[in-house]
Amino acid sequence: MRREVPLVITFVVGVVVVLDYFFRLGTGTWSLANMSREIQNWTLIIAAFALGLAAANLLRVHAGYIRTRRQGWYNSVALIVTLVIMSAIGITQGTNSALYRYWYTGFLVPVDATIFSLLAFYITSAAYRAFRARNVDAAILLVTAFVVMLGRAPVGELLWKQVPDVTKWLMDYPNMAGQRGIIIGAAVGALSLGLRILVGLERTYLGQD
Amino acid sequence: MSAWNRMLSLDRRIVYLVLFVLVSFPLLSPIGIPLSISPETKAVYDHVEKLAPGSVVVVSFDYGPSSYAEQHPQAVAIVRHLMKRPGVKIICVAFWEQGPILAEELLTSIDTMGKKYGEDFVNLGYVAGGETAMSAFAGDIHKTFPVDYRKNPISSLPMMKDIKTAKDISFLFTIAAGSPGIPEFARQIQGPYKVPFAGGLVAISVPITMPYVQSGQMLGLMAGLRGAAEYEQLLGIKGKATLGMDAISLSHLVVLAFILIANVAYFATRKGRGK
Repeated sequence: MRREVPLVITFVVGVVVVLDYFFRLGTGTWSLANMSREIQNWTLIIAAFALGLAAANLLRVHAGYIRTRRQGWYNSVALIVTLVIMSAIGITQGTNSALYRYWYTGFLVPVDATIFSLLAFYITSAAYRAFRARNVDAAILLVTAFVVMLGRAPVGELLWKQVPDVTKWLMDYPNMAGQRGIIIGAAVGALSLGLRILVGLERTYLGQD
Repeated sequence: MSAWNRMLSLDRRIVYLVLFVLVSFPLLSPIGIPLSISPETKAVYDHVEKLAPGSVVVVSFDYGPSSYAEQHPQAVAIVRHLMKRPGVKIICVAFWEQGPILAEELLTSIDTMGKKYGEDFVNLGYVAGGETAMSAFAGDIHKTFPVDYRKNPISSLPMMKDIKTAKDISFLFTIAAGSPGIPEFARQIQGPYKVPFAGGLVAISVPITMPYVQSGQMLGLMAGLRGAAEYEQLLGIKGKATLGMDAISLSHLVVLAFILIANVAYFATRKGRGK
């Protein structure tokens, strides 16, 4: 039963939602659209609970790191302190309160933006060390990257007026062909995986091989 | 050690310093390098210009502080333009948990051009669930968001009385930093409900998104900070994106110069080794 019940639920829920995407069948409470809508609303409720569960799990894991004095445990202290402070303010005063917004815009936004901005330095350093025209493939990649980077920056047009046109050609033809292949391949893979889950052939989501 | 070898083993702190200095300079003293408008950005602008009074536009804030510098100017530009359009109703939503607070910051900091909260624009907040939440939103907005971000029941907001599902939406614009984002909106709202759709993206996501533009699923897009700067230019304003353009130019030049130097040094040393 522990295996069959989840498989039946998955099949019924999956079939209802998939059919609703393509067909309009029935009216009123038992219409396909209404059943699909209800299932989606349950998903939203489960997703909201999952957020709370994730926060509780985060607390449990990092409390363990602090208890065992694992390397870098002080980062866990910072995480727990900020998690508790932000949660307490959010729950008691709301996420639209002045105090919450003060902490958010005064603390989280600059810290997060700073960490993301550091990528520019790492990318420059990594490009300097690793981006070499070692063979024909790498040389093509290098030249393409060179042109696209110039084409995306206003200064590129100053240096060479045709660079936006060349960039557009690169984006519209070689890039488009490659990206479409990736997207269509991923879609076929998703379709195949979806069918396997629906008919019960794929059971890894149940925690089994 | 030869000069070329020394060049190849250049201390990374020198690379950091050069980049820092050259990026800081135009931020403090803008040069004003001219900027051309891409057809993708122009298409978004033209579509907003053609929106008739009474049109309902959904702006989805699907980004967070990490891409704030690149994407918040996109949000500012599109919302400012929508505020200027007479009779256009704006619904702000978020399928990223960080979105609503950024939307609220924007709505409380710009000139709303006489538009009133609840009558002309609203911030519905965030709902968890990613792609499923988008589908639920499209099917029944009132059930998915019973209250807005300011805790008002949305049935009490005058502008929301006749807006029930995605069929009532005239235009959907997402400022998307990742997933859920463009593909999910294309699958759940643009495709099934035939809603005109466009988005603002981080520059790195543009290549993977271009097939959606060429197929016609997206009518246009704002590509990174440059897209926001192009939109500001179309609006006739000089915002944060325009100010950042010179820094983008110089940072790209620095990266290209370093790659060029490293490759020249690589070939020079390779030749020296007789390879």
